[in-house]
Amino acid sequence: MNALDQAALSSPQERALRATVLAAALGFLALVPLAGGVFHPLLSGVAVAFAVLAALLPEGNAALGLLLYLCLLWMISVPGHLTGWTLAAAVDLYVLHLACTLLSLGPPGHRPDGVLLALWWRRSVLCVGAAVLVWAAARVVAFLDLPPSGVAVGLALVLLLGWAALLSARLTGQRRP
Amino acid sequence: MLHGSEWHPSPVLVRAALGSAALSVLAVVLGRPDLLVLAAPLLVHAVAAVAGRPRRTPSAAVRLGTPYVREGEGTLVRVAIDHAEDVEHAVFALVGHKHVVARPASGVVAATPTGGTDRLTLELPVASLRWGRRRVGDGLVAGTSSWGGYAWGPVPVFPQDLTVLPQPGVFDSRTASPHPIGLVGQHPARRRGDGSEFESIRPFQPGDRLRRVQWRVSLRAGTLHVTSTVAEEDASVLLLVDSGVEVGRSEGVHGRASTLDVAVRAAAAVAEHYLIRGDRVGLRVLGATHRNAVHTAAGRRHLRRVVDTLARVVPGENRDLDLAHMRFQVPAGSIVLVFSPMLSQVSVVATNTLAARGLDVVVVDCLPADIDVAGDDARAALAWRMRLLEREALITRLRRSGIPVVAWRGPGTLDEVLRRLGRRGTRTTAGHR
Repeated sequence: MNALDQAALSSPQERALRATVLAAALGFLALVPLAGGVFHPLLSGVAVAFAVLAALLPEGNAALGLLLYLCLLWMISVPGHLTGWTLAAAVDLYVLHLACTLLSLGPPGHRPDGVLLALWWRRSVLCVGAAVLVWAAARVVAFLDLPPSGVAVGLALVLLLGWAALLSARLTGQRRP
Repeated sequence: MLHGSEWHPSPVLVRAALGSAALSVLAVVLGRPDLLVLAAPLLVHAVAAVAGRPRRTPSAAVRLGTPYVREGEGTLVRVAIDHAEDVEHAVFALVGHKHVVARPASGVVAATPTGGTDRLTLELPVASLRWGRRRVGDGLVAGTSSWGGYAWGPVPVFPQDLTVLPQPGVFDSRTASPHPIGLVGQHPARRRGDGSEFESIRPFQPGDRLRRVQWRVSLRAGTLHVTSTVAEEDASVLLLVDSGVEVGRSEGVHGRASTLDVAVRAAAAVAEHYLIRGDRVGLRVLGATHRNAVHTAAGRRHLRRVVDTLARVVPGENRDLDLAHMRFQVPAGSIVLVFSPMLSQVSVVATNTLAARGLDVVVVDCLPADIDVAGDDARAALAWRMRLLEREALITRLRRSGIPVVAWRGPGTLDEVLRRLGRRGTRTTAGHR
């Protein structure tokens, strides 16, 4: 079954989620200039093409590609200031990820039930809450204007290395968990 | 794409993990706290998904609510998933088959168990719109673990046999059988006996029951007279269904019918009518290779046998039928009802053979009036018209040789014909007994 067939067989909920993927991607592109970044028509066009692909094939790698591409676009376009738009961008990116997640839970025609949606609503609150916490902590650190610390950076990198090792064991290691 | 029956990291986990890891590394290396803010929700998702790693591998099996249904009636496809403690969301997608419908129409059903349950059951109502043997319930089952981190399946589940019994057309006949031959039944026989239908008043004979004494006539005549009745006997009916040819498009129980649809439903209706009245019914399917005959018997259990055999009819299964070696085993005095569109030589020869044996043969014409075979194709329309002319000539020949041909129209279809056969008294059809 090709992507267009899948889209045609979608349930109303799935169509809404596909539209959410597109809307979230477009919203993210709109947030780039609002956050003080530069709008790149060509790069934004590529992002839209990625978004269409992700909306049609949310269970594949297109969604991962879109996510990474949008992050890259943010990184090169937006100066690293922490504003309210940064938080909005984090929420927008999570909404995109969530819509792709719900779309990938079943085949075309799948209708996410109320229990599932309520579950993911609670989880979304947790995830967005984490973004708010990190954003607030970063704002506090920026306000305190602490000097750069090599120890802190090294500690963070070690932490990330451990996380990467755990992930590689879980994702590419033994087939049977 | 099938991933097998083991748990594996889902694209959701891969996306959350890679996205959060890349953003976090860049945030630390480039000193960009805004990237860490973007990564935070994904990081929480990835950590939670990895923490909820499933332990036991589920297994799925499918079974049907009931293996027998009538046309248009529904049953449940139940998919039982065992060892489902780690399954947070399970989905079953039914493979679509002709004449089988599901609710929802997509054939996709999902469940999210609220507590950790060892056994999870997904139920999907399905119905078959046409009689016959169907294989339903095959499809794919998949599940995801907590936070959608790990995916199980899609795992194929295998179909189950569903016998869809024909919905009997409405049928009723008020006419008695022309040649009742049994011992007990509802058809008035030619001989005197214990029945309820009045025959005559005659002088008393030794052996007559006292309750039969007709006192008024006895007083008037001065000698004892009794009321005599005709015996009531059961009839024997052989249903001959022509499955060699199927013309027209079957649209199921609610749509247009093909010739075989009409034949099977009509045969089921007639069988039900006679068997419920206590008569004996047999069945022969012309053109079937397996289970093509049901012996003549009575009773409700026999009705089930007849209808079950009708449900197994496959059109055009055996086109090389050798009528010379076919034994119909029809008891004397039986009525033979041939359900056929009279488009194949086999049914014509079989009809003539049975009529030549002196049996009462009635052809029930199963060609629906609204049949559309040619569509917009002018040449096909012409060919069909020629075929119909040949058929008309054939039916005329049958009628001339004393074999009545009636179109199936539900209740009362056979009344006039059976009345005429009853009036004949003795056989007048072609051939010899």
